[in-house]
Amino acid sequence: MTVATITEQTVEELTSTWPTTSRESAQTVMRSYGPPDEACEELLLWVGHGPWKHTILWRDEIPHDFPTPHHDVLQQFIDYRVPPDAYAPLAWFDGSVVVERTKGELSARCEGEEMNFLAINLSHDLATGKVDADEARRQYTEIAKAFQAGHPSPYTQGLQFDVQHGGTADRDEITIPETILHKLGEKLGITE
Amino acid sequence: MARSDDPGSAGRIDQTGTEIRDDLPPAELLARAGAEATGVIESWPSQPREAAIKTIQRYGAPDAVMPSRLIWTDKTPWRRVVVNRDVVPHDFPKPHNDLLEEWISYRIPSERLDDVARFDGSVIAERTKGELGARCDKEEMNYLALNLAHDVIVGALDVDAARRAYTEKAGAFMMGKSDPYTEALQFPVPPNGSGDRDVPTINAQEVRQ
Repeated sequence: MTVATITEQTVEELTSTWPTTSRESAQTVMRSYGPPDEACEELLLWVGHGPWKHTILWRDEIPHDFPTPHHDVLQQFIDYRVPPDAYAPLAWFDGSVVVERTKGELSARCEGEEMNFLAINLSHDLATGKVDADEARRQYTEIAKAFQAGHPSPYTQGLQFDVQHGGTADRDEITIPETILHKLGEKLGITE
Repeated sequence: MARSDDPGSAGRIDQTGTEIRDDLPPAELLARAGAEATGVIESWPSQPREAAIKTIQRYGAPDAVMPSRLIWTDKTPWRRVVVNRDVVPHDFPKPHNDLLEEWISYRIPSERLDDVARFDGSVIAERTKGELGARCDKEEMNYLALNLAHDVIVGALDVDAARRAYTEKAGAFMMGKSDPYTEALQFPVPPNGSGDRDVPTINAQEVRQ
């Protein structure tokens, strides 16, 4: 189903059968950003709210034990170009950080927005060489522990760097020359 | 959308056991896919709309319909198939638009991800979730990308060899030549449960405190 006009009430109905974490997270996100722009049985989607390019709240919870056992449900995206040698360290730092090179997007998926801020801020520190993956994990652990104890850090409260809007996509390069494709297509009578 | 249990009609069965309804005209397919999907893709640009129709032909009505995407779940070998309204320009190996995402269950060794990203920026790895996805304009190219990404991950090919192989096989496919790498996954896809939960670094006592 799709929801033509999405209100908090329709989201409550849609998520009434969702697992606890995703249902509660939907309420939390709506308190910050209002009802989602799109919704279906599997996810809610907000476009362009806060510092995020888009925010997806997934119905299905993904178990994740770093730094403490929790469920990943809230994925938030920014425009970001990751250096080619930073993909592996980022994945080692936090397996819930996802990089899309062609699209030029970086995202984090956790239980709440604060931990996504933390993951993205530390991903930026890692991608820019300020920390290595092990140090990023140590800092994530310490900052998350302090946050749980009621001591938020700037890293859990917002993005601590200037986020680009566009210009981060990487189209890669052509390896099949168009001229060759055209000639072969003509020869074989194939129109691409 | 008719599946093989539809008593009124039947399509051909491909090598994966999926019923393909390419015998039906697009209008009939859309009617079978339901008014919801039909209404959504009517306003889409032509390329994603055509990709949506092709995917409906292959996998039936989508499991979820949103203004910006159609989603199919658990369509062997895929955990998830997504057709996106908004396309992503991609020039490797030739200019095209990425719009069809297909995901498999896959345990990702994080140390291989630099090479995977260098091989093809439209292959996406999710370590915690245990999924590997490819986004291109055709399912055959997603098969090719994932087969070669697997070869890179297991060390059978280096990045340059994988890019050469992609270029050659994609060129051959465009010329109408078939290849196992563009027809199906050439490695056993693990069952769901390939996720990597990582390890706790805050101990339980600290959490309670």
